[in-house]
Amino acid sequence: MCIFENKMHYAKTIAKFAILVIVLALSSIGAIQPGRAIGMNLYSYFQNWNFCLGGNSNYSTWLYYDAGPSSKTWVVTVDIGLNGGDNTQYAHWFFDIFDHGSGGNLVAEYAGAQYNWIAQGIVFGSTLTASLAGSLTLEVSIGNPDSASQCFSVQATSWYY
Amino acid sequence: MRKTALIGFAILVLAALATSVLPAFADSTDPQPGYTYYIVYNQTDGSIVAAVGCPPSPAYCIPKLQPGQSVIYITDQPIVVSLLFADAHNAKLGNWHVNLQTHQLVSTGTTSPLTTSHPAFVIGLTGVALPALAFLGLATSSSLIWRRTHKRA
Repeated sequence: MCIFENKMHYAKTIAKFAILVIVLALSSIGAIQPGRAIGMNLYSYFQNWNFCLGGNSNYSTWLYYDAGPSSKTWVVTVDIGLNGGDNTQYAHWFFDIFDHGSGGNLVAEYAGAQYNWIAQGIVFGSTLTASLAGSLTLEVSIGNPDSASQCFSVQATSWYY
Repeated sequence: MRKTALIGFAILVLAALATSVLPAFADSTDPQPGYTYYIVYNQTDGSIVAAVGCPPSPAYCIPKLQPGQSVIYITDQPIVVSLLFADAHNAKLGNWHVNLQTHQLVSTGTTSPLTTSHPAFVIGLTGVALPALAFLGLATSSSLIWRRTHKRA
């Protein structure tokens, strides 16, 4: 009889504990505020350019020009590294985002130092974010101060929302 | 059911290996499908400012030119692309210039060993033969795994 009462006591304790846990869990879920989801649209994924510059040459060009929809916030990941050539190389570069719809204003930039020492396998990169009135224009500029030519690998991935 | 999953997993691993390892064998100087290739040169002396490989859309592949610069598109000359970029990757872009009379891209130096011996063969090897061999290997391995698993069952 005593054993039966003990078992009943344990069962009641466990039931109370379970109810407490359920109440706590439900109240926690109820306390969660509805979040605002941001839908990111992938515009380009890991596109790769190969820029081979002649000795003592600078070259600038557009990676994207008047691209995508207007009135969006853009997130653009860019990076640059050596592609063949010397094991180490001085170089300078910048990536610029222009707002195509507002007179082509420069709105974001990732620039290396005046001359960066790049080694093979090392990649310099950044993520640029900008809210644009118009469409996206992304420009890259690379300078090769060496008398020998040098190739550079440039990548870009972009989203907008 | 478990064996089917195992076989599927093995095939996936092999496919992943094939797709990740093979590109390493393909020379990065070979023309890539869908890419646009061009060179920008100085109109005064024909020296090359830049040789560019531009990926497919949405990338913008119309070059930005400074005063005194001009452009030649070479996308439709895959052997020239291969030769030029092979030299460029060996820091020998200076071997190339544009003949200002004919507006043709010409090589003045000795090209790299990769490109001097039958470049069309090299392009064919990396572009067709290696993927075909990889596919054959993948098919054979999958078949072997399948047969072994069913034999045990």
